[in-house]
Amino acid sequence: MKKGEKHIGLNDFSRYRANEMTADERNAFEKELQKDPFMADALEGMEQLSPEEIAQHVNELSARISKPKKSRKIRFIAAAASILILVSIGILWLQINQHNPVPEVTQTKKMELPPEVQKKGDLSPLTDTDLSINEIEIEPQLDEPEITATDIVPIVSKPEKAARVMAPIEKKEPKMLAEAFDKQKNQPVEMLTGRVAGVTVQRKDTPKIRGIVSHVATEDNIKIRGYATIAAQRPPARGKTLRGQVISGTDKLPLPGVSLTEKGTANGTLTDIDGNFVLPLKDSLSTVTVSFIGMVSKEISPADSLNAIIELEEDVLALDEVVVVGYGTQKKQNLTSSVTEVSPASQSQKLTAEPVPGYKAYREYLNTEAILPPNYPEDKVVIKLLINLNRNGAIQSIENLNQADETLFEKAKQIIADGPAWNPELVDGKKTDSSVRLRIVFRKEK
Amino acid sequence: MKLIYNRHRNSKSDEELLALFIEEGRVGALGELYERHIHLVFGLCLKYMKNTHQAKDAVISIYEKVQTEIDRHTIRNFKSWLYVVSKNHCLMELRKAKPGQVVSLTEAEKSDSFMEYDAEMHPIDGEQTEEMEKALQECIEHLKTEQQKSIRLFYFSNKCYREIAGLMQTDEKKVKSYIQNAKRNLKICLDKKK
Repeated sequence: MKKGEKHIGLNDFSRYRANEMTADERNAFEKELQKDPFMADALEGMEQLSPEEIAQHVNELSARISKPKKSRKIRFIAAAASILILVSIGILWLQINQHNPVPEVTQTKKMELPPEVQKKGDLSPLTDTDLSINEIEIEPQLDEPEITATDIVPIVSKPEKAARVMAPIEKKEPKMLAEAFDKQKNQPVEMLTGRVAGVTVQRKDTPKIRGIVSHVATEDNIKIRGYATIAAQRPPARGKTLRGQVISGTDKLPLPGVSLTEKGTANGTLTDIDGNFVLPLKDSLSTVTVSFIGMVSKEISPADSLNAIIELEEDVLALDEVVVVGYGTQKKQNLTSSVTEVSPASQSQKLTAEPVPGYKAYREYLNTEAILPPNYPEDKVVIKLLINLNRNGAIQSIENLNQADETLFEKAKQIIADGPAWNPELVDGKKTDSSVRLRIVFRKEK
Repeated sequence: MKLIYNRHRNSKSDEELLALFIEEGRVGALGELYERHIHLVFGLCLKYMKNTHQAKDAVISIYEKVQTEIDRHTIRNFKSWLYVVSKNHCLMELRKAKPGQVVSLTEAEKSDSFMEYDAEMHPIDGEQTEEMEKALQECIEHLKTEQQKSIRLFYFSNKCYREIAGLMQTDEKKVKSYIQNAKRNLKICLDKKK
C-alpha cells in the first residue's frame, strides 16, 4: 500500500459479498480485484464461508496476532538468561560433585602405622580405592574411659582430603574418638572419617557390598569397626575415554571419517572405516561435537555414557539449495536470477531378462521340446505366454495369454520349468522383477 | 471513484510500518502491518486449504514465517511479498499433506523480488500516457465483440460485473473471464506495438 492509496479492508469484502455496495463501488472493487491477484485469491477463498463467519474468524486471528509479543530484544535476553541459568546450574553441580563430602578429623598430626592390624575374614575383597565405610564404630577400651566435654576435639569436615586415622593413636585421641563415637550414637557417620589402616573411609554412600572392617590397635586397645561398602559407581573421573560408533541415521550404516572434537579443546579424532572411534577425553564433563559433511552436527555429553552409538541425520538443508520456480512468466530483460534448463533425465539403463544361455540357444531348446502329440488334430499350435520373473530370476508364474489348449499350456509350463534358468532384468545394474512374453510353437515331430 | 474505502485507522503506510519494524525493531508495527492484510491471507489460505481450521493455523504460521523471513529480504512492496510468502506456504502445506502429488513449485520467496507479481502492472489498470491511451484504444478495437464490450463497460463506463452481465445477458463469471482474456490480449497487442 503506497501512501495515499486506499486500503481495502475486510469490511469492503463483506459489503461486496453481501451486495451492500452500489454499482460504482462494485466496479471499483472489481477493478482492484483485477489488479491484485492477492485480493482475487482471497475473495475466492472467502466464498466458502459466509461474510459473518469470515469476519468472526478474522477477528479471532487478529486478536491472536496482536497479543503482546515479546520484543526481539527481550527474546534475546530471555535466551541469554536461560543460557546463564544453565551455566550456573552446571557450575553448581560441578562444585557439589567436587565437594567430595569426606569429613575429616582434624587431628592428623601424629600418625603412625599400626603395629598390628587384625582383619576379619571377609575383608579380602576390599581394596584401597573401592571402599568406603559407611558406618564406623569406635570402641574405646580404655581402663578409664573418661569422657568430658573439654576433651572434645572439634571435628571439622574438609573436602577432598582423606584424613588418616590410624592406630596407635595418642593418649588424647582415644578420648576424642570415644567422644566421637558417643556422639555417633545420634549421628553416626558424618563424624569420623579418614583412612583407617589403608581403608578409605568416606561418607555414607549407597552401599553395595558390605563387610566389616575391624582394626585393633593393640597398644591403646582401640577398636575401629566399620561397615565397608564399595562405593556406588562414581561419576566418571577426569580423563576418561569415550568410545563408540557413528552411524547414519537414515540407513544405520557406519560412517567413516566423521570428526569428533572435544568442545573447547583441540582434542579430537576421526572414525575409522567401520565408524568406530576412541577419544581420550581431557575432561569427561565437556561435550563432544560430532560432525560430518552433509550431516547435521551433533553434540553429545560423555557424562551420559562412555560407550556411544551416535546417529547422524542427513542435513536436509543441503537438498533445498536448488530452487525451481515454476510459475509466472518474466521478461528476459527483467530477469535477475539465473536460469538453467533442465531436460528430463536420460532413460535408465535397462537390460531385459533373458535365459542364461541366451535367446538363440533357448529357441533351439524350445524347438526340440515343443512337440505336438502325433494324434493332435492340428499340425502347428502357437502358445503365447507371459513369464513373471522375480529379482533373482526365479519363475514366479506363467500366464496363458492366448487361451491356448490347457494340456499344451501345461506342457509348455513344464518345458520352461525344466529348461535353462533365467537372468533377471537389470535396471541401472539393479535386479528387478519383470515379465517376459514368450511365444512357443508346437509342431508335430517330423 | 467514490470514497468507498475506509482508510485504515492508522494513517501510516505499509512502508512506514515496515521501516518502523526493520529499523527500530518494533514488533507491534509488524503485527499491525500483518493484521492489515490478515483477511487477505485468511482468504487465500481458505482457497488452498479448503478447511477453516487449517487455514487459521496457516495464518498464524505465516505470521511467524514473516517475522523470521522479513530480515532476509529487501521488500519493496510488503503486500506482494506477503502474497508470495502466503501462497508458497499454502502450497508447501498441501504438498506435505499429499506427497507425490504435483502441486507446484517451491519456496519461491527465497528468490526474493523475482516473484513479486506487481513487477508488471497491466497498462489498463495504471495511469496511461496519451500515446499509450491511443495504442490501447486501437488494440481494444481489435478485440472480439464480447471482450470489447466487457472491457469498455468495465473500464470506461465503470459498470460492475453484475451490470455488465445484465446488459450482455450472460452470467457474471463469463464477464469476468471476458475481461481477463481481454486484458491478456490487450497486453499482447500493446507489447507488439512497442
